[in-house]
Amino acid sequence: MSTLTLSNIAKCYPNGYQAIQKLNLEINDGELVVLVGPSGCGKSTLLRMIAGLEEISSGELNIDSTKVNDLEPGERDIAMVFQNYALYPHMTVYNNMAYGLRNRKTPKQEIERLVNEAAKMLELDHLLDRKPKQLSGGQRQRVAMGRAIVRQPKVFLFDEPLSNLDAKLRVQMRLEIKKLQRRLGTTSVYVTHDQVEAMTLADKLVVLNQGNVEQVGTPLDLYDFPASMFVATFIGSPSMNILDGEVTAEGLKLGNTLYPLPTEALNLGSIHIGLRPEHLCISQDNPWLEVKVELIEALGADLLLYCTTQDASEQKLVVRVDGHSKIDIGDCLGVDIKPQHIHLFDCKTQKRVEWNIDAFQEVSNA
Amino acid sequence: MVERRPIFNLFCHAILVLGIISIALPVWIAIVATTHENSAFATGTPFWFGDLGFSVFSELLSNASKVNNTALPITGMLFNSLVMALCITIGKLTISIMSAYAVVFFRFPGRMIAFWMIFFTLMLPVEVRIMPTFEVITNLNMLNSFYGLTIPLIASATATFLFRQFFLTVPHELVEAARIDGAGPIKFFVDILLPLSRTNIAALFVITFIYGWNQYLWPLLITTDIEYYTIVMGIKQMLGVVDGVIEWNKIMATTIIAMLPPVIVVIAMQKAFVKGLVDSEK
Repeated sequence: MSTLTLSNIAKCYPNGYQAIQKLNLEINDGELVVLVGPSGCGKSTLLRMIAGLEEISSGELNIDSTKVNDLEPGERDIAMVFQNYALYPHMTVYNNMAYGLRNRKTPKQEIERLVNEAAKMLELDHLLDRKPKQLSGGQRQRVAMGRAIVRQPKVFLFDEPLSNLDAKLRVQMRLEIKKLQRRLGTTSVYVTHDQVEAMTLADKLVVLNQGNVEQVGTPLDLYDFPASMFVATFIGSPSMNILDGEVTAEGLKLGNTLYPLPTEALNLGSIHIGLRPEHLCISQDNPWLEVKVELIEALGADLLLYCTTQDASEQKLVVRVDGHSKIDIGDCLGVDIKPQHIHLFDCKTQKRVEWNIDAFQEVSNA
Repeated sequence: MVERRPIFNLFCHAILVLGIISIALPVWIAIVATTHENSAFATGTPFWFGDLGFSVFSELLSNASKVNNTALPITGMLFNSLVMALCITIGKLTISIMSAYAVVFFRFPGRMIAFWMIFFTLMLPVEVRIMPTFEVITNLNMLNSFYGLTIPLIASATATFLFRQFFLTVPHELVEAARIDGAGPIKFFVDILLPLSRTNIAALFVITFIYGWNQYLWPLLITTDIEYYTIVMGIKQMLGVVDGVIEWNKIMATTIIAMLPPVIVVIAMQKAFVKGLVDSEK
């Protein structure tokens, strides 16, 4: 049972490249924290710094209240699951799981008990004599997790553990990881670039961009109140539409159409308007936007309509509608959205602009 | 490329048969020669077995000190060759696997300089540096000793280079997983790297053993005492009879005996080879 504290952690490579910039993060006991971001954002570097595989340039890393900056990975009491599993190819499943315990001079009976327990939990008990190459991808993945579990470490670290599996298995393993983590209650840090994986697994989600933390929060927080355009477009699939609009005294203007909105709290001028495809709906009476469908992707449950707005600005827009809607390419549709689903972002800072929804609803109800 | 014409097949087989004949014929002649009286060689080279059977071999091994009246005990020479070949092989493998480990897995100042210096010795085999090496060995009083026979031949860039190439293919995650599992450098080397290098060690064992066994020039130079003669130079000595008859049948028998240890090593290690090739997964 342990907490992990990162204070002012930074990573600077000898060639001057700043991979992580002054990062602060508090990971509570038993929490599953997911680090997510596009490739090259520093998420893996950060994880490897926690593991001790990568040196920490400055700042302090604490596990519980012990400073572990200068400890070897083996001394930090952590366990890591690698993307390509990194199983020892010449050892049996049993020995793979027991190796870390043996190095820690755990008594033999204890090793046997722990390994068998973990194997049972992961349904590996009939495979203990196999070599890794005789296992399927999912089984190897489980052995890699077993190797982490038997050690009963303070912190689990997962480095994109599911990206080598096929789509179906990935979903299944995702659930298993979640269940397992709940059951063991071990503090975990999980790195992924897959936002669906991130959303489903995380207790706390950390979005990284170019070595900076963009936002920290629960998955729903990040979905409902993205702090920046980066988070807004990264979380959610298909990603949020960002349109260029304008704030006027009457409301939001997009091309030459107006969305009436109380704008007293906002600065007048241009602004980015974020609209999630799933929040847009087709509406016949007095819609906000006129769009023309240019391309349709049928996903079964949903249709994704790739549209262009029929106003002066001709902006691209994705709309998600029911999978059996009768819509063809070239159709012109009216599109509307509820006011609470409109996200506004500053043009310069790309940060979220707060506006008072409650005030709006009072006005419209009156 | 798949060719289905019979003429082409015939051609391929002809080439193969030619190859086999050119390699196997001398061996065949040597085997046949051991079954003839020495007088048979005066009239030409026999191509079929004579009537002596294994008697030349038994005579050779029981009366070991008499070939052409030169006092060269065959068993003693075999022993010398074996010790030399094994020392060279084991020494080479040990030193090169450790130096390759240092060069590949550790970052220290002068790492690349060390590597390139090892690499450059590839261009300086024993034959090229034979005079200075002889001088050094003489000054160290290693003439007529196993130290002198083996040490100069142990230093090897080939094996270091081959191990380095193999180590570079070991995935980095494996090293990191071992570190997280609490294995230090020595534990990693013994528990993970050595078992993974099994195949390479077997391959290099075969190559270096044959290299050591076949050494001729260096032992010839370094040993004057009959006690340290190796079998390969012994065969040459047997031919150097001043007056008298060259005992071809005994010499051929000695040659066959000298061939056996490398053959045994190849056959024994071939199993490890194949197993290693089938198992090779990192």
